[in-house]
Amino acid sequence: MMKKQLHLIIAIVVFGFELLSAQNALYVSKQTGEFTKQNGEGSKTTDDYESGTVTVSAQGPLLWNVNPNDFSIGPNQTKTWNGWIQPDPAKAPAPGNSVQAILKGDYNVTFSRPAGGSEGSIIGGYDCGKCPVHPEGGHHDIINKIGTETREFTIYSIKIDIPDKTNCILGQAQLEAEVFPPHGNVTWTTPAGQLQGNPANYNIPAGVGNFPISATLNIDGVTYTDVGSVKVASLKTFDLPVCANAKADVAAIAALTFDGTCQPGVIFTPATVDIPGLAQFWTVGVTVASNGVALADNIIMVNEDKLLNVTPISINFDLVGVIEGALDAVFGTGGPCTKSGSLIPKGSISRGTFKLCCPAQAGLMDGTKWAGNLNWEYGIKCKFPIYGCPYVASLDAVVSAGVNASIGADAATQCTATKICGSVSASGSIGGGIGFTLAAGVISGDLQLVIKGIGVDGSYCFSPPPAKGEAKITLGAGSVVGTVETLWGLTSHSVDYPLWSGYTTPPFEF
Amino acid sequence: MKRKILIIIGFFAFSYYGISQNLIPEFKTESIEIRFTKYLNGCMPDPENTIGNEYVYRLKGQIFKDNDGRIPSLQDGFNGKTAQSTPWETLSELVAAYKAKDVKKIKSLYNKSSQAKVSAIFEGENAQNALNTLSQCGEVKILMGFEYQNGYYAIVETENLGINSNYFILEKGKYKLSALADKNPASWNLALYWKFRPKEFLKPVKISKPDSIALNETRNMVFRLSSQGSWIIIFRDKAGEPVLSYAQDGGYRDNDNKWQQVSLSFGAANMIAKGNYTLYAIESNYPVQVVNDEMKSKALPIIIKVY
Repeated sequence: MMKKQLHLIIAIVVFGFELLSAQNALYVSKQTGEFTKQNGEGSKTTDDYESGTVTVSAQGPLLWNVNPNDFSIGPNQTKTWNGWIQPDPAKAPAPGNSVQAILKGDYNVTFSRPAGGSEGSIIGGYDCGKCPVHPEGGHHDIINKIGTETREFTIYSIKIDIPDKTNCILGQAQLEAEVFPPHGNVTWTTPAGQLQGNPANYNIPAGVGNFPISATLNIDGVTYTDVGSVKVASLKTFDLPVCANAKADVAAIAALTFDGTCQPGVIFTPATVDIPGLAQFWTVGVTVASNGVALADNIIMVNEDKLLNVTPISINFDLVGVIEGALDAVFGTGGPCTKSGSLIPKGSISRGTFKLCCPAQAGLMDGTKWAGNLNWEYGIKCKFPIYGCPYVASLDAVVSAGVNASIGADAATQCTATKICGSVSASGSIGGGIGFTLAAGVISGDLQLVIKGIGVDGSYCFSPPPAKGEAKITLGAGSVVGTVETLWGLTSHSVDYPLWSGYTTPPFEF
Repeated sequence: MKRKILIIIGFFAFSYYGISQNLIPEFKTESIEIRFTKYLNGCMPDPENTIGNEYVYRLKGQIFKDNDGRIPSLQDGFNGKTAQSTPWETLSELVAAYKAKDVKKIKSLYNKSSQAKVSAIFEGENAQNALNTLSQCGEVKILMGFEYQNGYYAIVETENLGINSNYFILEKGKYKLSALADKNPASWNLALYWKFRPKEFLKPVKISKPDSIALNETRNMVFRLSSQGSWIIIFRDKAGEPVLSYAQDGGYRDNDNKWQQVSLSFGAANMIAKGNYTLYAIESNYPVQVVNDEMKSKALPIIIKVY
């Protein structure tokens, strides 16, 4: 490859037929005197009209040679050149630096071409007869061209530098040197042998203190070596979180400090900590040993699922009372109502205390947990007057509603104050009838009070205290539907009229 | 002599018939209009006869004022016989037949297609109850009549049985009573109009009311009304929502015994939750159960705190 390039360079410089401008890299080690060298060869055969001369020179720390040292060629000649080029170690820049160098060729060439074109100066011409370019005959110009061609090189004075401080994580050194240029192969030499790569990890044997280290950069056989040492730090402090609520590897939760950047290996005893099975918490002592240093700390392991003082709580959810209020509001009067069901619910919600691990707060805190479900079944039947029948002063509507409501809880206090609420869910039915017969049947009716549903929307919040709930009840639109008869059915009227368009109570507390 | 006696008898008979005829309300068919608020209790939607917030019924018929529609009784000298040439003649015969418990006569006043029903009522097992009840209907007044569904519809008010209605079919020059299964809202709404005879709402005068009231407490609100027997309605400003409470002067839920003054129990539980509320009160000549847009403009604001 290098030979071909040099050949081309010479050919280009001499005849200017083609131009290449790629950069070339040359490496030199000021430490060892090693350098990279490029060799090449090239040939040129001229025709009747071709000839020329080239003057070659170099700028920068370059050494070069071409054989034969004659850069001229006449018409109808064939010549072959061999050559090499290399950095000049004595004039190369200091390690870790690079410099640009140029190989330059000043040429003066003559050649022919078909008439036309702008390159060079026309100094003559001829009719080619029937040449390949002009099968029917044509004119060729004789051109003289004078110019300069250059070839640029970058000369790198390579270097590798091991930093004063090496980072180690729990006994594994992260070896990483600064190299120039930033490529090439790095070989590390450690007390345990050689490692390849940059960076490279080195496991420091247990008990080892400071140790020497060297690194060699190799680019195309040009090498540079640096030596250094790794200073292994000493363990200074050992801290564990004040508490934890789940089994953990100590290494994952321990905080260690060292007096340097290269942390040696450590051994924790025990290696893992676990929560108690029966108690709410226990305290575990942990030691850490490293290069002859031993430190100790404690951690409180908390079983947050362990509840104590579990007691049922009571909730006075008088939903039926509110339904009665809503019906009263709907019908505009306190109709006589009978209620069924009980304020005492089925099921239970228990409240228990537990220990909570809060490292960011006081550490071990008292928590409260609620769990369970309460269910109420209510029924209510109320009688209200209805005025919307022309043939009687007022009618008694009997409204029946049944609601099955529940409050579920599965929540606990957290380290920071949060609102803990259980949802109130309810399903209900409501409707009524207005059956009447007056004056021995002169007026009678078979009417239904149609209410489009009853809904309960609410929540019960256990924390922050005091525990309380809030809910609201929605009664759907109400209407009266059915038939009213007069004179025992001689006249009957289909009835369907609205009573109200819907009603939602304001939120009420319980 | 015999001829003379016959003439005298004929004269008296004619005079007696003529007297009876004169007692029966005059039958006219005119263009009439009745308009009233569509928010009246029990009114069924009737878009074809609704203009704004009112039902407007433009009919061919007759409206009676005061006692002009009174049906004559036997005590008035009415003999129970007419030509049945007007609905009112037929109705007068019916009332007389009711009072005489004359089943045969009652049946004869109904058209042929209604006979089965009429027989079931007046010849069935409850016939005696029916006759006893109808015979005690008391004084009967026609309120209005109008052409309706290929017949004629009459709304009447009876002394002891309240508002009622009758339906007539003209058959061979005679008005016959007929059964009617009615699905049209017009007759129902018009009957409600006559039941309530709605007047414009009025602003009552507050005599006393609590400034604050506990959620579980019931206190009295006292208002002075402009008319005896009127209703006081308490409501929130939410159209379509049921009113909060109501009472009638001297009647339903009125806790004092002075006329034109109503003492109304108000339970704060109806408000469901604590807070400051603005309620409204109006005076109405009929009970209102649902809040409508017309109420607030005439209402007295009531500010109350529920704690």
